[in-house]
Amino acid sequence: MTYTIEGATGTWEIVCGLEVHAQVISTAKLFSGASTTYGGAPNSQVSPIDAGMPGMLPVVNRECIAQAVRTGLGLRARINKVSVFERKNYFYPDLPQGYQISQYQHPLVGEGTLYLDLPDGDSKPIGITRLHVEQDAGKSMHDAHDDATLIDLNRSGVALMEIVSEPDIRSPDEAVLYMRKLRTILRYLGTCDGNMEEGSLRCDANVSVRKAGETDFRTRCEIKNVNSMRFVARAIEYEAKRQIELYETGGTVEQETRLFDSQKGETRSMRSKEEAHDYRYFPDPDLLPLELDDAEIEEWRSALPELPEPVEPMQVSFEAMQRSPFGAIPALREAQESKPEYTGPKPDPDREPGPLEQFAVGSLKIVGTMNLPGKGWRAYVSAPDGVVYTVAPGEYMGQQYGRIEEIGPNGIVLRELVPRGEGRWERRKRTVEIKSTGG
Amino acid sequence: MVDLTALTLADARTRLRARDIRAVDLTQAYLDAMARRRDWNAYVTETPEKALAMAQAADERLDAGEARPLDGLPIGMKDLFCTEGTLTTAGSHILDGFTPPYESTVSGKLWDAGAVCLGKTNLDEFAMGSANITSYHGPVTNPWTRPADNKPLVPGGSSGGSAAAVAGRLCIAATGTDTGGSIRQPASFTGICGIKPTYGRCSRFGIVAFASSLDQAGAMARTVEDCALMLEAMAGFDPNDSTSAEMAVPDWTAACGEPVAGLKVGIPAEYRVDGMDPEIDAVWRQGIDWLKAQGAEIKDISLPHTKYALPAYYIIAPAEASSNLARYDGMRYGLRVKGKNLAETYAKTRGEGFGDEVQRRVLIGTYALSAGYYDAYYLKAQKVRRLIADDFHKTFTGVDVILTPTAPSAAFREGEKADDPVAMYLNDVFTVPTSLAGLPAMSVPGGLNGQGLPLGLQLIGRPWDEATVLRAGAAVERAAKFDVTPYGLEQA
Repeated sequence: MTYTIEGATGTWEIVCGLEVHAQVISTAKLFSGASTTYGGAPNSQVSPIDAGMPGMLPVVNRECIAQAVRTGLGLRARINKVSVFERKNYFYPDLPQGYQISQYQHPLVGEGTLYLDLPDGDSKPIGITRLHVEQDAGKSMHDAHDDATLIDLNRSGVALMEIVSEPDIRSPDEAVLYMRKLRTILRYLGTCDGNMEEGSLRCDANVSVRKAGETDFRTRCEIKNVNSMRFVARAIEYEAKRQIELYETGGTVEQETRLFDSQKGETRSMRSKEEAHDYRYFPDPDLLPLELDDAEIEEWRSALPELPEPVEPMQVSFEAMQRSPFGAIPALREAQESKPEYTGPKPDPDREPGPLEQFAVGSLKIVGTMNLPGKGWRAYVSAPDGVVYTVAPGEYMGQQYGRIEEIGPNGIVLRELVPRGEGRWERRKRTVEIKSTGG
Repeated sequence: MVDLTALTLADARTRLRARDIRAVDLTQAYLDAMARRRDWNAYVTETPEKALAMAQAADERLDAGEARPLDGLPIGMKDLFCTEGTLTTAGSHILDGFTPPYESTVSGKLWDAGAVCLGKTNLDEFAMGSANITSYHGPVTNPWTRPADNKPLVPGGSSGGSAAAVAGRLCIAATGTDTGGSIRQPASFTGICGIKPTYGRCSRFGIVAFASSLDQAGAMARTVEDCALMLEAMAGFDPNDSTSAEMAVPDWTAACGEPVAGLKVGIPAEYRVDGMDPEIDAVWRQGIDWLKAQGAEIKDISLPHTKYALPAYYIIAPAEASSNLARYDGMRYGLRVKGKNLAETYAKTRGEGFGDEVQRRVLIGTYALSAGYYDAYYLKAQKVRRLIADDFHKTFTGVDVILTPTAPSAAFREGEKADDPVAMYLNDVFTVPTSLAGLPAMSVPGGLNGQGLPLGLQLIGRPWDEATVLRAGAAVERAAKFDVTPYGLEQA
């Protein structure tokens, strides 16, 4: 079943990956002893830890970790015996600590596979990139009061599993099949109730399109708030058609976050990549690296209900680390070193950042380029600090390690490095044109 | 009639148990002294009713022969420890009116041990500072002055209120916290003893966080033995702090009395810095001679990465602080300055609620963690931290303890360094490497400089080996015969 969309300029294909947030079934929150029952009176299930009170510290609730590992086993995924909680920093009133404790470089669960049951009886494997554990935020209620937003922190600190798929999904129907299968597995394992109405299962879709036969991926958009099975298909289909129309009318797709409006059945821009938050991830110094031993994993595995197919997880083994005041640092290092050698692109930590690397590319304006005799091309870039910088090929700009590959009469071609998680990086080409905005 | 506030903690403890003195009288003597010396500004909050009630309860237990380890001993609590039902400020405007509904683990353990709470001692805002001049509640004055001019001096920081209170006899001992030297440097400036134990010894639960991977509670008192008695009550595993260690607490008081003959003492070449004050060098050499005279073996050692410690610290500590202080947003407790919208409310609350030094460090830390700079700054600083810890580990295969000066100068006047943040940061040059490596270290008074001000000597030990630090510290103390009483206080 090959799904395609016929456009004016040819046949198009959808490329889609899903990021699913699944609320963990547990009696207590991820880092505090507070209850997790849905529907309690507002702010009745909040400990000083969940409220971000001064001096409060998180302690990992092993029950939540066991649930995430069970889910990983059900997805035939690699269980990482060492994983690291990091802080994702941003300000919002329903985020009491000013950061969310999540996992970034070293998730609890690595690669796995989920098999779609296709209507023709065949099955199709969809790659699972990772599963990590994180805290949920509280809820903002904007309509409950005339001139104030009210905050309910009952959900603050509840454990979530973020399950990220590879971009292997090729049609809106496949996306729905993926969600159904995932929900079945979660319910079967008893790790998430899969209730989309109550928000215990939430979905974001990464969507891009490409011409049939193309092998590279084009720019994708992230569609937020796709919170029912019905909307998954509609949102992806709408977004794919929007992107195709843009390409076919000579436009380009900008990488951005879009919100699905279920009333109107359309997606609209939330924020562009330039407006994207800089989350300043770093390992949470309040928590040691999370370590699991074989016996523990085996205990959880043996108690699993029998799955349709036998589960043989791959495991990465790390040296057990002694607890010491110096543990946090070697633990990270060893975790990195004992992985198969990563030989792909990565930023050079010894390189001094250039002056234009403190600004997002979107905030920089090319005011002109010039081919200087004997020197070659130079570009003149106006930055938010009011200074016009001169740059040459080989120099860097923007916050994504953008190396200037080429300068020409129309602008600059950058080669950026984008993190793919677990210390892997992806090169991406980006063109910044001279804008005649008249301003 | 014995001068109650002149007693050491160990001495008062013995007399309380013998019922020579009563906890209520001892507590009242301190409350009276506190009322006389409010000009030092050592306390942010005094808790006289609570103190007398606790002393009363202690007397009842002492009368009944059910004495707890620190029963009836009146102490100061650094105002970074959350205390249930008592205002907790962290020296900041942003925590206006904040009264915690919970008790920090360390303060709770001290109350359980029978200690009496005299009040909350002043500190640099969020423990960021080395002179106790960044507190929203005003600067603290050192009980010591230069006899020549008698002008006020800073007590060091950030535990400046605790240090001034201990030195000025406004409490028998006090708690401190040490992130880069905040117990040891003020102890040196005020002529008292202060110990920062191994990272993980004392629970951080309920201590307002500055830099989580460095913050550690410790004790400040007038003798090494008093520090040991305090620390025994403070230390121990806490399931509420994931970084606290499951280790038994040894008998540190006994360790103070053990001889140092045969002990190998390392003298690191890198601490003899360019332009070092000759008087600091002199007290250091004196310390070496004292230990040698008691049979210790002196060894020259090298800690080659020492010079990178301060820059690495001033990346790591602000980075963690920038995240730890994000929770002070005016939404749930403390100060809120309303703006036209959410972003403006954040900006105004944090702009007015945080002082200059805190804002400076939040900015530095935010920058160091931002995209494109993380690898060059934060990650690199973590690697440097690792090298510094490795330096110590290698060294400790050949020596048992390390002796250095505590601070590069004696106490100074408020205006002398305050305008230059970098000059202020240099105060921590000898204390920061130990903090980065998580090691136990203490400051013990070594003598007076030419202007009559105290100078401290620092002893650094292996991880979890506070016993040797205290043992060597007591040996220095015995030889120094330091008179811990600031001028003008002798006749009080």
